[in-house]
Amino acid sequence: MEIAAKRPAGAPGEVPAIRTLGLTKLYGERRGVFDLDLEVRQGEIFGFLGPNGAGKTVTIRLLLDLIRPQSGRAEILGLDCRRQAVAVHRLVGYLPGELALEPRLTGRQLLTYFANLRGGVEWSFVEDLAGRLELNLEQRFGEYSRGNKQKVGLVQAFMHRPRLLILDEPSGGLDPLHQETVAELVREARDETGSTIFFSSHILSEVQSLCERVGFIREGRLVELAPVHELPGMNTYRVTAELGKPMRPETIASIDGVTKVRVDGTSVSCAVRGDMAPLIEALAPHHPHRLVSEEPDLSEAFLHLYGAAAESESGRSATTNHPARRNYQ
Amino acid sequence: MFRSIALATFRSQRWPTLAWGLALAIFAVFSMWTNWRNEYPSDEARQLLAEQVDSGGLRFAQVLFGQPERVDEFRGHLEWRGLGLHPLLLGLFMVISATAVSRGAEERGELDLVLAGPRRRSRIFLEQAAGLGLALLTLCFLVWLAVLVSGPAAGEPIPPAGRALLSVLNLALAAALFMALALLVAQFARSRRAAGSVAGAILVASFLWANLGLVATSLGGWRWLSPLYLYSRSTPLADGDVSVSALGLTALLTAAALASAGWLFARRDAGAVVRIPFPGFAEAASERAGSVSHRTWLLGGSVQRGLREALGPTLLWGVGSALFAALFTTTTPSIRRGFDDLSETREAVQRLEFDLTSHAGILSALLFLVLPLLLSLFAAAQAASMASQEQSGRLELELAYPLRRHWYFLQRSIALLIAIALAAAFAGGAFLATAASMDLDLDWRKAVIACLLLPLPASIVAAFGYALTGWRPRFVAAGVAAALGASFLFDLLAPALDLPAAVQKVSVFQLYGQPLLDGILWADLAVMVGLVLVFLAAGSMGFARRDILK
Repeated sequence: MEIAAKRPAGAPGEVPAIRTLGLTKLYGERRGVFDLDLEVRQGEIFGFLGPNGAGKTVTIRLLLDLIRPQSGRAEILGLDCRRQAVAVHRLVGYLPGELALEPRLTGRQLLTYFANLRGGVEWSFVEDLAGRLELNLEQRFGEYSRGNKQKVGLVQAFMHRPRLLILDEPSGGLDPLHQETVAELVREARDETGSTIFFSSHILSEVQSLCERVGFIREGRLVELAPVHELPGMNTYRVTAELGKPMRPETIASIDGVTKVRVDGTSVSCAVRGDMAPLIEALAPHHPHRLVSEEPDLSEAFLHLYGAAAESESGRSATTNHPARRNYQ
Repeated sequence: MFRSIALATFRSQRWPTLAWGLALAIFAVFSMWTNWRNEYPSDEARQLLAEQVDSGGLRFAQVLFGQPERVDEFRGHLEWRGLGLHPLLLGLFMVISATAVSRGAEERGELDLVLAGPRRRSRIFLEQAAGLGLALLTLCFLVWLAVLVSGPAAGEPIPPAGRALLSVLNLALAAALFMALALLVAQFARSRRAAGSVAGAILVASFLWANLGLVATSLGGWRWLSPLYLYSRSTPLADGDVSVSALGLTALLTAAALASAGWLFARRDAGAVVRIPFPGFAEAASERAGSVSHRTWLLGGSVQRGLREALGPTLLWGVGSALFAALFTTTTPSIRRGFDDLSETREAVQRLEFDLTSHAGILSALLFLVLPLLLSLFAAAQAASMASQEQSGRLELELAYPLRRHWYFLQRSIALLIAIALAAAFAGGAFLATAASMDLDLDWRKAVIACLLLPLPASIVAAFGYALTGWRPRFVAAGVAAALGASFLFDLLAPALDLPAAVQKVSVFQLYGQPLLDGILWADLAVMVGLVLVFLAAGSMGFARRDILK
């Protein structure tokens, strides 16, 4: 993952783009967010992950002062989200997870209205964004497909070149081509405008390819906050091999860093952490004619953090992933 | 309750049905208790009432309660005063419910899954209508019970159950007709609000037209144009008179409207409307030609946006109210001539506390009683829009823009107040122009004042709706409807209760008073303006403090 930032994220002395201190908002015993401490640096692309109902959207709505915390506080670019909400909103572009807008207005009319609420924006940039997302602005919102509705939301979030973009599931409903366009827009916003991007997503490959750091939330609590490559499970490769002659599992199970060994006739699979050389040496005498190593992906970290309960959901998400594969055939 | 679409439809309306049904029942019992027991407690008083009716001295009340029959007998009085407003109130509920389960469900996207199920569209439509029918039956059952109870409550024997049932059946058929009309209108309207506004306007116009024909002899020959004329043909409680042909025709019209609505529903796209190729829908025509309107006017901010949203209903109610005002004003001389002929009952007429011997008195007692109510109904319909937008998630994005919540709230309120003022300007303008062209005998300064004050009762209703929006957005529609209904009924019943003047001013309509006769009462004006400001301030405070619904 190569990201060419114009300036390093979170330069010393800079106020964080987002900071929450003991932020708490509860809806019953296990819903909402509880005592959330989170810091997102300026200029970084930050992924906010968690299973359904973990508290991602609640956190985002707290940051935007749409709902009020029971305790704790939140700051955006040094401004108090509660007391300086208007100033905060000036700096933020927001895409809600569920976009509901007046169905009778066209995309152009809606964007005109939102632009006016900001005191005007550079309209050529709006046209440019709509063009890149292949969005027809002359259609009524109620007649747009789900993906096109999402594009209207994306255009309004980006159109004033905000210092902070808060995107709740930005790729929801978009086809792969437009998902890639959104990724480009996110990178450009960071690289050209120096924007910070805070987004939640269930598309782990998207988070993995875009984000420098991710935060995992579970039952309203932050359970992990780290650079993507330092997450638990992110240095573990999945290896599968087709061998020329059968092999006993113990042959590789004893190798340091090799786990989850499965042998089915001449098919072998295992997880490898760290150096790959001892495994390759152990397999070589059995004439491997096909060897596939899958790069670690966020689903490993997701599974690691959310355990068996999240496994089925993670499995579904993982089917949408296309992890790069290194073929040693 | 989820075994069929009909039961699910009924379930979705069960609480409003019960609330509305109880309110209608209480109103029927309470009005008989106050009227029969307190206002006309003796045979002499009842005899005098009958004489007033016979000589035409109660024409003013007929605008609200319809044709009186045997009002000196309990059952006749019950059918006239106790149930006279029920066709309007029951019809209004059915219009609100019908547009909610049809266009409202489509707006919220709730119908997609149902339509994707293994049921034909026509069957789904019929089941929805059946669910609404169940709600109507529940309401009518409560009203029937109220009719029976009203006897003992007023110190009379229980009315015959069979006749009460026929009276309620007459009511039910009238309400069912407007339910069917609302379902038909919903096939053409883009939003629940538009469908409700149009169907509600048809209902109110029908009610006023049918009753106005009783008062203005020049319109009497045209009463049949109103669907509620058919309702007035039967008076089973008063004299056992039942017009089978009128009941049958009402049922036939209901069936025709239902069949048309179902036919259109089965053929149009889900979520879309049946397009009418006439000038009002020029935008749709240009869309077909491939050139969608790019108009971006009235999108400059929240006030403009609020006005844009309210523009259609404002024009509709404004023009409707203006037509009513003009029509009524033209009939005023003939009403006055009728009273001039009633020299023998002049004493009885004076007992009514209305001056019905002058143009100003007639207009004040009738037109300027109905116009504030019409505008208040408009305000009530519009006041719920912001709350319903919030509940459907449409405020989520706007409130993430750099606007103070207080200011956003006030901007939306101001937009509605401007819309009310515009609708009132239509009505007031039509009244003044018609009155001037007919050279009516009026104090023109007071006439202008009466018109200028017209928006105030509706503004109080709107501000109350916004106050509820600020604190309890889920209860706005029900809360405003209940408050408006209570205010109007209190206005009607308060004189009979002999309450102190200050207590009577609890009703916004009492606060409006009779400016055409009395001019400005500064204390009442201050209270009205104060109420608007207090409600808006309270709503704004609540809106700024609470969580936004999602």
